[in-house]
Amino acid sequence: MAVIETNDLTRKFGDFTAVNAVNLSVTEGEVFGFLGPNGSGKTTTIRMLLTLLKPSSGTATILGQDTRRASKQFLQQIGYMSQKFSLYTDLSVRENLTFFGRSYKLYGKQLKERMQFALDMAGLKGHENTRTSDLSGGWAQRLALGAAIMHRPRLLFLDEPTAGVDPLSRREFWDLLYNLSQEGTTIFVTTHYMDEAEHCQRLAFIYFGNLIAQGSPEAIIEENVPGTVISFEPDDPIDVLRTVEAAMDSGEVPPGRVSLFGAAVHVVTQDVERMLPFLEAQFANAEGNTPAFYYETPSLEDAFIALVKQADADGQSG
Amino acid sequence: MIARILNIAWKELLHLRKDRVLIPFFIIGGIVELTLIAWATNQPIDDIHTTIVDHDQSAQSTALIDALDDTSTLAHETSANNAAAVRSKMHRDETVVGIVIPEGYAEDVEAGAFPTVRLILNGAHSVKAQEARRAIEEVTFEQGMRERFNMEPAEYAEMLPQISVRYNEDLERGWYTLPAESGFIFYLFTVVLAALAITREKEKGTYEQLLVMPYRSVEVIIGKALAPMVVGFALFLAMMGLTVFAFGVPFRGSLPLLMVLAIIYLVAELGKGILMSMLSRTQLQAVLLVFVLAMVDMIFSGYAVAVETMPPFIRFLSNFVAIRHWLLIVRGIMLKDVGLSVLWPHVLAIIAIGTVILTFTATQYRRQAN
Repeated sequence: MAVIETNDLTRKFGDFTAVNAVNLSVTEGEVFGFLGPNGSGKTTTIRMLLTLLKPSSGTATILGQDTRRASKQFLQQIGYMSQKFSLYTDLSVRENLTFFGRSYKLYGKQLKERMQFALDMAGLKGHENTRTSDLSGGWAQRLALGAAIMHRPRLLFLDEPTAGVDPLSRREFWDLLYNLSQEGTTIFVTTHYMDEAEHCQRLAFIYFGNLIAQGSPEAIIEENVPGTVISFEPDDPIDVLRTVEAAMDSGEVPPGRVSLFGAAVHVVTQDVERMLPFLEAQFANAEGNTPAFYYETPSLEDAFIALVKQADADGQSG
Repeated sequence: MIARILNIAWKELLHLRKDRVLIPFFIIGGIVELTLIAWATNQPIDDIHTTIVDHDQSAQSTALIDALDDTSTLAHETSANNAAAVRSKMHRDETVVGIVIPEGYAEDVEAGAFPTVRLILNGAHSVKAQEARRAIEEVTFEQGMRERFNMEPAEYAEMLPQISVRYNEDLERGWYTLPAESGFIFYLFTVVLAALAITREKEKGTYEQLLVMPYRSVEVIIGKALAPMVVGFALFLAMMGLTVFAFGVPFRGSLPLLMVLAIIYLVAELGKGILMSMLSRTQLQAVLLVFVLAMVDMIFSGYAVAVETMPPFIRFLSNFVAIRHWLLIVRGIMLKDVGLSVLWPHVLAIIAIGTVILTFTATQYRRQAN
């Protein structure tokens, strides 16, 4: 069953189209990653899904409700945690949880029980009276998550929940998300981190307002990085990059993609038999060292670089 | 619904309690303000600097000067040779009143004619000048009665109008200003608190979170207005107590009536505060907006400037300013012991203004939420 379903969801601000005819489909119980660079329309999309912003055209159906006609009551089934962790920093841990719980109609014994749950989850037992501003990033983040799920939402929106948090805390946070997902909560999460994106069951990638990919990480990689990745670290990567690009354009080697990954060059090709000798030949006569060549499994990052290049090329030709 | 409103109100009270500056600022500020005003309005306008030019130098002119000096209002500080010297003193702001007694003053008095004394006033000090003029007219009137008609005070008193002052028997200015000031501090305090209520969340980034919680707009608005209401009301009671017990302004009317009307008034003004809060992005913006608003309200309130003397159109506009009605209610109940039978037009006006503001605020909130 689709928990989130959008149909040509579009939002314009004046002449600027922030979100352009986006069709998303999120199934119940999955961890769905929503990716895209800053300013690509991620936040605008989330705001529309949360009924904070009206679509210019198109529709969004959340938990079977059309967001344009949804009453405030439907928000009772939704949890939301933003990148600022959305806690009241002048209030204590207990005060924050009490306010969140009561806002979602938890009172008395039920409230106490869920507060205990949130405290356990955040590892903040014994710190109930600490001012939230005194908590470090990881604690505050887990407390915010606890506050957002106290009322057992069916659907949880997380807007860059790990921004500015150390790697260990990020790891722990994702473990918590998996547990939640296992219990049946659908999670819609935006992130910048590719390693996190690979942990999602399905992904959507938005670029300049357009959805340019949607599917499981494996499918997205397969679709956009057909072939093998040859990785090597030459002394002058830029120079090599240009040479390979020129050779691909002239037809000297079969078409593929080439891109920089830090100090490394990634060459994606369907014809290793012809590509590898060409690459080795580049270093045969040179004075510098011949780098070692590795075959790598294409990563999501390879896929997104391919996607962005394709989108930019389409944008230029269109 | 009530539990949900109270949840928001509770959270807002926590914010106020944890703010170490805001509440103390208003309590201390309010007390200092009231004390200063009580002190300042208690100072009679006395010993106005007077320069006298006596061209006559006679027993009669000296008697006139002594009589003027005997009033508490005037103080004969210096003498000058001629009117030009007085004007030049005024130019340098060294004197407020100049009195020129002409040559032949004594002869005129003896002859039973009307001697003309010239009075030069420094209009740049209009309040003092008015006061001096009144005192001098009184003295010359009494002198005239005595010298010209040989009448004793008891005789000519019958010619004077019978004056009885009601409500403020001694025409104490503090009785007028202090209740109004209490009402004004009450207004400013609650509007500022309300204006901070939503901008605080916008600044901290929690506003979105609040908007995605299953609250109805009316629940958020009432919840957010409730906290400033409670604190504002407590402050108002304190200011009233200070006005009555420390500064001796009488409280003649019904306290319960004033309290009930204060709540009605409060609701109207809180709507305005919340509206400012929605229109601003930061707390600073909200406070500045409130101050602009307060200045306009102050002028229309009839507190600083008398509304009665304004042009008809402005006077008409002032009817749409809630604080004008509110100050009339405060003074009416405190000094005149009037009830609803007299005050009802003002109560209705506040209810009408409040309804318009609150409706507009709720629509704005709903529009912003989308």
